Amino acid sequence: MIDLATAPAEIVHDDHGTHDEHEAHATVTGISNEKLAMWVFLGSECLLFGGLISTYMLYKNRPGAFEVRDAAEGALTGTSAKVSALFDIPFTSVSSFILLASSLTMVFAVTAAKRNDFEKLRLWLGATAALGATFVGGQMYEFTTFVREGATFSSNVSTSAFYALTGFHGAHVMIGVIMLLSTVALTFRARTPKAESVEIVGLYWHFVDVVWILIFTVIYLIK
Amino acid sequence: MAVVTDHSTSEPRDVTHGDDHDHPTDQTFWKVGIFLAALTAIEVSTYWWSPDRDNLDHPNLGIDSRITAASLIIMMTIKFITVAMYFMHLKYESKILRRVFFSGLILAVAVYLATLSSFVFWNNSGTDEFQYAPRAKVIPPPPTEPPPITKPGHSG
Repeated sequence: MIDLATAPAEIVHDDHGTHDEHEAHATVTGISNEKLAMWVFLGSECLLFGGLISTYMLYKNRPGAFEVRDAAEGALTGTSAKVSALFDIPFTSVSSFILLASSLTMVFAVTAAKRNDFEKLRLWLGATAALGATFVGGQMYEFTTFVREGATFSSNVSTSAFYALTGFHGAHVMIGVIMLLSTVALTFRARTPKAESVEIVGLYWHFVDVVWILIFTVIYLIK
Repeated sequence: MAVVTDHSTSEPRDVTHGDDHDHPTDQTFWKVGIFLAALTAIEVSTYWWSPDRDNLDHPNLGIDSRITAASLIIMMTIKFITVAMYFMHLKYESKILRRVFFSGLILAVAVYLATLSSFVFWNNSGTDEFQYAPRAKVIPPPPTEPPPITKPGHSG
């Protein structure tokens, strides 16, 4: 028999499987171990992306020449150097808006999970995954355009730094999309995911958005 | 079975949750989303504030690029904090989490700035010595042997 006076609150739920968002956690910090683990992981990710952004900043103006080709005709148009010369700001801006919108849909998904509204949870998670996939598609299009214009990963040190940074970010978005779709699949099971599980996926997703806020400004907009 | 709340803990309440117990409504999230979208639109507009050295035909308002860069960094910081506080729920989370997150972040940024400084990123960013690969050393041609000295009157 469970002693209700001393049992950790998180292991006891009502018969309907609802999860109180104010649920107390029997940890020293008051934060569940799962959520704290995600925050620690995101901290380590900050260092990873900090290193990649710093590397790009150091090398962005340090080109070895690569041959810039006209995308339509394939003819050489010169030996310009910087990868930043190839940026298409209006296109990348649209991608940024899409990723930002996905953060908004994600918070609505978390809210729906806390209300145990699984119909809306699936809707918002699906919308978030679709927006994330659109962003990744845009990034693949951008990479393809750059490669056709002559800037490959090994063209020079600035292109290597650029592809490493944005490629790592794109991979993170892709993993996020997989996490979102997995969560949608879990909602169809008899034991639905806890609201906190959705919140933890949301933390990861917002982190990916936050990193793009930095990349978009530092890499694309600051000249 | 009833939901059990943990009354046995002796921790102060603000350790488990932040001081703001009002959880955000959907309306709050919409407002934050619109604010972030507006800020992003202003950020994008800065592309046409200053001249672009890579593209001399780029239309611009002629604003000093340092002002543009400073504005972008400020807007980026505001967006970062807004997403972290509202969307990542830090505003409504435990105070200890907020402190750990922001103190760690500030420390990390300081470390990266120090590292960039050690690479002389700020001072020499426009010079050939730092920005470009070292030039190949110009090796002078080997000295040619002087022609033999011939004494006058010894010819033939």
